[in-house]
Amino acid sequence: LVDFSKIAASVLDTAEKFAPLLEGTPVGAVVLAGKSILDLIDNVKEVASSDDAAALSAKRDELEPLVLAHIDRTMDELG
Amino acid sequence: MRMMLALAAVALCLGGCANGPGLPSAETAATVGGVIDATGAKAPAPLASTSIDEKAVVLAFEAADTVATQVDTLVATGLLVKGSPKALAVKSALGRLRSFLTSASAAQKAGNATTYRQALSDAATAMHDAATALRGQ
Repeated sequence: LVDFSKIAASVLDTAEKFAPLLEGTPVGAVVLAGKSILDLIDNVKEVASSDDAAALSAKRDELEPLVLAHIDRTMDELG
Repeated sequence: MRMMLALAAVALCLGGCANGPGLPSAETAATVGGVIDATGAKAPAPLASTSIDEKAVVLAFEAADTVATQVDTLVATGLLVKGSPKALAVKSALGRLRSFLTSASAAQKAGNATTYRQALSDAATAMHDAATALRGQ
């Protein structure tokens, strides 16, 4: 899984260089989707190993409004 | 898609399972319990059910963000059509996911372990419901 992640991250890093050209296109959306999965893997590792309660609390406070707003936007796109 | 949702479930479980890394060990709980006993203070509830931190809820938000991004992708690529029965079923699941995440966060802040765990469990169910809706089952 780690090796796969590294390979995929490398591919996505390359793809991101073309992000301005891909923005708003289906290909751009797929690149973003792939990157979000890799980000999730990294975040799970980071959060699971963290013992810094203050940092976790700050992260939650930062994430909560952003994620809720993202879900709202996504729901709007569904109908 | 299935891989992403499986990861989301893992993310939830990592912080939310009773013996997950987000919770202190039984030894730690016993030590803290001993200190409380020595002071004569009365614990408001069993320590095992009050020891909740932010790991589970942070991971749940991270996972939900990833789920939303994957759904965005399906819409952008035309695989999920706005207003279709499948899209509306996914929307319903996302709405429940949003509600349960909000509940879990509020319960964690209030230190209500029972509500917290229930809300996270419900959030995981909502993610699975979204996956089921996407498969058209």
